[in-house]
Amino acid sequence: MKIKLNTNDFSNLLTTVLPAISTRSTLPSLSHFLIDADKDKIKVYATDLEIGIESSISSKEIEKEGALTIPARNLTDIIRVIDSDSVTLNKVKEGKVEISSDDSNTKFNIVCGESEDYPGFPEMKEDRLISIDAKSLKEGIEKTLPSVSKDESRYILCGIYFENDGKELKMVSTDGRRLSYYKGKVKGNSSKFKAIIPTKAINVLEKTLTDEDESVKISINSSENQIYFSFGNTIIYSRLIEGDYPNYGQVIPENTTKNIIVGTEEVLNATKKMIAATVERTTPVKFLFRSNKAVISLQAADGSGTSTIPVQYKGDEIEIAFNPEFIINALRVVRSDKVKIGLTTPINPGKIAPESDTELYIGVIMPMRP
Amino acid sequence: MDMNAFFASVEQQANPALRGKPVAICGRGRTVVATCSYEARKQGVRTGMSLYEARRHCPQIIPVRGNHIKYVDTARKIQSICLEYTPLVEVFSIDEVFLDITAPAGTPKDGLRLAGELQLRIKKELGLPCSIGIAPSKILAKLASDREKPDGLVLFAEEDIESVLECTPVEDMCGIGENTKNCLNALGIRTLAQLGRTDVSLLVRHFGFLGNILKKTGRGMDMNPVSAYSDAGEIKSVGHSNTFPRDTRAADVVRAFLLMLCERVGVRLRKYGMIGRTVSFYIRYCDFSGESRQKSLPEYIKTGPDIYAAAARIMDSFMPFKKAVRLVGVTVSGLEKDKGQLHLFGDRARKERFAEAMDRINSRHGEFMIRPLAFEVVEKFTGGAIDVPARVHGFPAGFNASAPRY
Repeated sequence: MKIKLNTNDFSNLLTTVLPAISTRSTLPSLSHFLIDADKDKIKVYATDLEIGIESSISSKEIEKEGALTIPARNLTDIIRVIDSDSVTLNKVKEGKVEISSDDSNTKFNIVCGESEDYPGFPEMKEDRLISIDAKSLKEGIEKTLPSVSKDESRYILCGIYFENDGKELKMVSTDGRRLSYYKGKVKGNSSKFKAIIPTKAINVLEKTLTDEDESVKISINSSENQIYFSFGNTIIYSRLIEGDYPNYGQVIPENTTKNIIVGTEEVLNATKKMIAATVERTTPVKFLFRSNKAVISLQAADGSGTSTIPVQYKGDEIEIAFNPEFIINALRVVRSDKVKIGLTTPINPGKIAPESDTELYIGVIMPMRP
Repeated sequence: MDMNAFFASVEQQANPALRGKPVAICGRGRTVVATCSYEARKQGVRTGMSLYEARRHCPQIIPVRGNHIKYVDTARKIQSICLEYTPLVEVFSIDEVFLDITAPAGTPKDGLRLAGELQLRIKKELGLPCSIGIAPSKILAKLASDREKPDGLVLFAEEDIESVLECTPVEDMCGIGENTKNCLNALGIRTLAQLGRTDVSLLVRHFGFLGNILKKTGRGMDMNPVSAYSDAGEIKSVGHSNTFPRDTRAADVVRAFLLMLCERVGVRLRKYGMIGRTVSFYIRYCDFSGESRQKSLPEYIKTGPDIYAAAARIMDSFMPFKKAVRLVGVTVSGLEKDKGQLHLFGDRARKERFAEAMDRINSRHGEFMIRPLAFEVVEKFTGGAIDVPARVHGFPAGFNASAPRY
């Protein structure tokens, strides 16, 4: 294999794929990138067997086709220090690759491996395919990621649940105490599917998706229990979490009896102020809603505070306590000047949604016992 | 205030047949005397003696198995009586408390009257004897409470302190142990007054920064105020362990015992209103070798099944058992006050409601009237009733002392 690439392009390629390199892998070959030069395309691929990322660029400067694996750390470090515009990779002999700058003033020799020793990219069968606006997917991830569970004993909840009914893609996450729901439009016709995508793949996806990407194709290989996200020149695949996601629809309150409209920033800031009064992060923050006024307060062993803000509300007085972290997370991702807070009783779940479109995003938070 | 022969007095109070008799509180099987009644002390029985030795001194001694739950419960009752007099009640150990009565008493004379009233109330309401010392500092009050036992009531007024220090050997002071005493004696310091007169630089040379504290101790000074009573907040961990009546390798038996221990830990956690996120499991084999491991969980837990899930995972890593198992234990630490976070989904919410319902039934009708079926395995193995002593760590400060100090 002998190829010449633009140093910047190559560097970007490696950065895209790098998240799939696991830092503590049992298989030595998994600390390598797989580089494959075929016809007019150079592909770089990495996997930790749970997720895999493949990214490619077209190139007219493939002198000799071929494939090899190369230690990820060494290669990224070398590409970082090379200061010429382009770089040449040349497999000089078995197990040895030469990396040189344009002018050949800088040369590196590093070991390389055989592509046959590297786990292949699983074949992408497009049996369930949808296309979604990249911005929409990114927004969905941003809104649902904070409430994904970190409790590995409840592995079902350690991912974002995707549910596609043919027209809309719903994304849901919950850690058992709060839940986030997001609904995005799907482009064109698509087949229905349900899948739980592990947090790791979601993190990689969020990092890799750029503003230039317009749409993302999602396909599922249900027999292999794998999902693929393809956009631009990149494909990310991940294994799916097996099992049935809890019936989330059942815990989203439909008809809340006490509905309050309030400025998002105002209630967010008031909540943030309250937690400054204590060092105990999970101290409940109390919300007392009465006619056109909300008193937000906190009472802890080491301090207390209150803050009053105006709200739009006419109805019976209600006081409810929440974990402030959950409230702050929900309000941060609402992306609406005003939010609608729906409550029923102090022990029923509270609902937070943008005032304008109460279907686009819903945050459901279970209160703390008064 | 220092409870006299606390564990023994509690037992004598609970069982009239033991009153006026030499009683030793101990464990089961081969065991030592944790504490004994004054009747036994008169015959030379001391804390730390083996039961065999105690019998040599006092053949008619009655050994009684210690029941920690009873003592903790009684201690709390005593503390709540103290709290009626002042909020400044510092729990020093299970049978010792400091009270700051500056505000309610005002003068030393009032203090003496108030202490007398407190002593009488504890005698009347709980039937327990105690010794109370009244003094301007905590260390002197402790010294005064040690002067007369049982039922002592000793006041060190400001004007008496000098003469008290003059005639008290250093080792009588709380905090001066055998080593410090020997070291001080070697320096020619025998009484507290002598200690108080010693040049601080000499003490610092021998004892480091403690020299400063020793000097103050010698003058009866203790700058530490009586800290306010803080309820449950001081529990650091809750655990139970159980020694099997005979060693076993049977996994189902060990699992059943473990589940029972976890249920008990859960019951206590809920009683204290705590949740925890670190579960430790330990195992001891027939040859007294053992293993232990702990695991931190991503979520706080408080129910038996949740504790068991974590503990059993650790136990699985020790299986198959290398040798026959003698004891297993489980402790939940990393505690936090349960702030009552409710759960969205039925499973979790149900689990907690279930545990709470079980607690309500059991607290009304007796421990483990409702219980996991696995307890049958335990009963079959032990051939009868289940009895597990509780261990409470750091509840409140000083409760982890295995025996009261006398």
